[in-house]
Amino acid sequence: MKKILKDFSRNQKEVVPILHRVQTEYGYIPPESLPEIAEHLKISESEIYGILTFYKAFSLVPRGKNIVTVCMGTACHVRGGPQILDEMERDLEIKSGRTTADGNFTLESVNCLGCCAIGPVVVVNGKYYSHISVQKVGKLLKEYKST
Amino acid sequence: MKITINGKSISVEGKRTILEVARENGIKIPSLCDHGKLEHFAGCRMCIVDITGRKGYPPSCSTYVEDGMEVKTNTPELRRMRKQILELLLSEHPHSCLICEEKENCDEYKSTIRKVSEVTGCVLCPNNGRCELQKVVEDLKIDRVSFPSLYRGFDILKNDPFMDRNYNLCILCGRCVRMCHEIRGASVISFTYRGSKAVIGTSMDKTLLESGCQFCGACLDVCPTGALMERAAKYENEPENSERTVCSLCSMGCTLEVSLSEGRIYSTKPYEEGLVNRGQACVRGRFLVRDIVHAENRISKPMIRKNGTLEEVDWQEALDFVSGNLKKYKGDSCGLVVPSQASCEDHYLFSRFGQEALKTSNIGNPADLNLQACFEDYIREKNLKFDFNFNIKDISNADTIFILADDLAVTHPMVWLEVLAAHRKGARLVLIGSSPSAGERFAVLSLKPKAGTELPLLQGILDVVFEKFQKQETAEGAQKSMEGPGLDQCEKITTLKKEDCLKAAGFFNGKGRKIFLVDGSIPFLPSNREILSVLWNLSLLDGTQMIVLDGFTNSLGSLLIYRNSGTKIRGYAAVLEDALEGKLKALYLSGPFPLIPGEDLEFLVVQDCYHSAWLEKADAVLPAVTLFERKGVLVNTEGRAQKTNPSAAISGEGKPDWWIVSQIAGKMGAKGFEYKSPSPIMEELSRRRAVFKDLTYKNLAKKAAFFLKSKTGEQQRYDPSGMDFSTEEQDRDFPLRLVFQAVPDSCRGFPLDRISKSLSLIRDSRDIRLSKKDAGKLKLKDGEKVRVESPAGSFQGSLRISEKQPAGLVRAYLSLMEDFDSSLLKTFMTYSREKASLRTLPIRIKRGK
Ligand code: SF4
Ligand code: SF4
Ligand code: SF4
Ligand code: SF4
Ligand code: FES
Ligand code: FES
Repeated sequence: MKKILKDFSRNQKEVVPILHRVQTEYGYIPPESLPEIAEHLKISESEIYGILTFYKAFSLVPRGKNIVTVCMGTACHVRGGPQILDEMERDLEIKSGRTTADGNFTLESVNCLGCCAIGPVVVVNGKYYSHISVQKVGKLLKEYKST
Repeated sequence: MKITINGKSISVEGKRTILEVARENGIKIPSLCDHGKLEHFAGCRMCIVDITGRKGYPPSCSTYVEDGMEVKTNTPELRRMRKQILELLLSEHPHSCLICEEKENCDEYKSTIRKVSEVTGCVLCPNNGRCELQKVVEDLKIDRVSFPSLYRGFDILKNDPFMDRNYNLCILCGRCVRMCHEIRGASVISFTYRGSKAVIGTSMDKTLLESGCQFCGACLDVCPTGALMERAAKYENEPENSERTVCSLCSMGCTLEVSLSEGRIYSTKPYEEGLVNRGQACVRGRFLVRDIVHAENRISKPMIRKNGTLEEVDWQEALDFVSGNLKKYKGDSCGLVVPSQASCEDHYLFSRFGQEALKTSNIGNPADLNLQACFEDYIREKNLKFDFNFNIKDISNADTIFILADDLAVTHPMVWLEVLAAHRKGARLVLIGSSPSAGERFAVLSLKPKAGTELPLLQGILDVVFEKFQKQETAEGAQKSMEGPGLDQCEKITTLKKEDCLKAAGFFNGKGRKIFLVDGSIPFLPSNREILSVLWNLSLLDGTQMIVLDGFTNSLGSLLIYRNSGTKIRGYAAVLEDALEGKLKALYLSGPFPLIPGEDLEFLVVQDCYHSAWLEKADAVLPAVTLFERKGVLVNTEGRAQKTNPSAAISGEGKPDWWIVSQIAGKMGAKGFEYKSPSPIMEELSRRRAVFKDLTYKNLAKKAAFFLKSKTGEQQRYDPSGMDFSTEEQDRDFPLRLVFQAVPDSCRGFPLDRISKSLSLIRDSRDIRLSKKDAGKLKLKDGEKVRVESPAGSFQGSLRISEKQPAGLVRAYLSLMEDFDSSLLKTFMTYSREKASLRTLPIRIKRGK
């Protein structure tokens, strides 16, 4: 942490760049780093917390190697989004928003990815999978389990 | 410039918003997020208006008027839009009651069902009837909500002292966040998450307590909904009436509004127009007054000891008993201890009672141990010209502020808010001293010398400042006498970097308005007398205004009464010393005093508000009342005189101090004690003491602000004082250093954490604060009972591990209460006499029982 902070001035505008750096360095924002960032920038911890929870890019829990995002927008929702998420949770043995113990997967949901026509949509590491069904979940995840 | 609002032509001056101008002219625009004292937020869109020639509907709360503007505030289109916006907002707020057709008839039935914690409508909401949101809904005549409703289902947060938070009721107006950030400088709460998950919260959802909240209640007082509630007042019936009074719980003198319900205090709130506080308060004034007045351990009836036990008697019997017995003791064998937290009238009569009835010079006031006493001694002895008075508003206009103090946010909350206001306007803050404080986040420079080396540091700075002035040959008569340790030695002694000392000196030499705030922590520092002289010289050299703050209610007023009484008064330390040496035969205790064995005491009177261990030894107990239950004049730390008003019914049979002592003095045969009310006492005082000239009830009512005539010596010269560079030896048996602080929260010296459990969670007068590092070394845990041992004596308390506490240093509160080892206390009394011999005390910490 000390080393990271050394690269940044004490200007309060540095808060987002610092968070980005911490996120890339650790894969998430360790809660213990908040007091140190606060001390460095002379702002309060809650101000930092407010900023980091505002951006989806930051996470307070470690993120897995593979990020699985299930769409829960209206269109995908009516076509079975929730069931797909359920199946994912069962398969990976984690709740949505969490990371597996081996650090391989992080499961997330999102509201509409803007491609409703091909829904239900699942995105893994930025790659879009269209017309997913509960049956296809196992096969899809398997692809990433070996890597 | 001229504008028109709804066809009405209005002339406006300065930079004003449309909303402000409309309000001043009686034109109502609904608003929710706007608040006069806070920056504009423009979040709720309730206040939208129509401006001819402008596209869209700008919010009037953040749109400034321009010449020729034509504004409409109430078109059908605006009304329609506002309704829609509000309906959308209400879709996430329990609104069944708001749109219920039966709501007028509902009132009579609702009184008991409010005690549920989940709020599904106004009838179940503690804010019902005093809610801004409710009023806006009413004004806009909302009778339906045409969006699907959503209950956000947040847990209700009840784990903090004093306040509950129910964010299901929050409308995200951001007032609390802005208040906490802008005015209080605490930034405990923020907007977190966004979109439909947005909620006000702390870092990592910690409790407010864990997040450094001051519990000032300011967020609560600006919340337009029931989201933030004072727990104790939550389910009480609506208050019937309210009284305005001056808070007597510290030396600020805030104006409070005390609301009453069935003779009991319902709640206290800061008064918006208060001269000192302008709508702000601190945890004491905001949350503790009710507990102080209605405490369970109040002494309610006079008692005298009969056959070994205290028995309740009526006032006449008690007064006869006390006066009859006191007559037996003459002169200095009788000691009188007064509470510094009493009115000027009380102090004047206490001084006359001591001198004319008890005929003793052994009168002790805890304020004798304060900085103002210390400093008054100093300038009096040297005949220096100094003005104790200042105006709190001037602080916010400073360009540089030096602070040598404990945490001002705790000890002098209103001064701290002014410092923050100055900081917002760009002032630089320089902190000097080892005490952890809220100021650190705001300081350009924070000098933390090794504990006990404040003097060499200040001398080092003075050296540098002086050198520059000498070159300019402006510092006449400031010769060699001011030579300090030199920066190299300063660096060595204080363990600070030379550059930092130079930088601090640079700020002193800098331009603009400079203020040096010093507080009651100085008397607890080694060589405090020399520190005062260095400060004096510094302020004289570069024109920095020195402001001497003190911690107790009315300590300045009381000091000036005793010190100008014309006869010798020996003071608190002397009374304690005589008591310890067994020289006192009778003791009249009306103020805090450490419990001593007192075997030689033949007669002991306790005149106080709360039960303490002293009652076990007392021969007579006389119930006094707090300053919230009576009239009295208080002088605050600025030198401003203000009157308190009885804001609660007197608890039990208690009486004001002036009444009790005048009765006893009269019965003892002293003349001129026939008072029926405090106002003639004040008149007499204003005639007898020059500093109090013209300070009468009449004049106080007439004048908006009344300041004492601060009268001091004549001279404005440098004071060549003895220099002291000795450093303290490390003692292997006692490796830690102890620094005392005065208890910040007390009523007549009685620590308030013993009255309020909630306060004791925030800070407890028995806390012994230790750094994490030292605690680790000693394998001690937070909250553990520990014993502090020193060569002079020992005392107990519970450990509080603090990240901010520097290693090697231990901080404890010096409470003049029973569980303090009086022999230890004696070593701390010495500073108020000729030679400052106080040192930070070498100690060790052991695990307690
Ligand atoms: S906050 Fe106001 S509007 Fe909301 S439920 Fe409570 S009283 Fe009603
Ligand atoms: S009580 Fe005061 S310090 Fe605490 S959150 Fe509210 S405004 Fe901030
Ligand atoms: S808690 Fe109250 S003041 Fe704070 S944002 Fe919510 S409604 Fe506004
Ligand atoms: S204790 Fe002091 S700062 Fe707090 S409300 Fe009372 S006078 Fe004001
Ligand atoms: S609802 Fe899934 S992509 Fe739009
Ligand atoms: S009051 Fe103007 S936007 Fe809220």
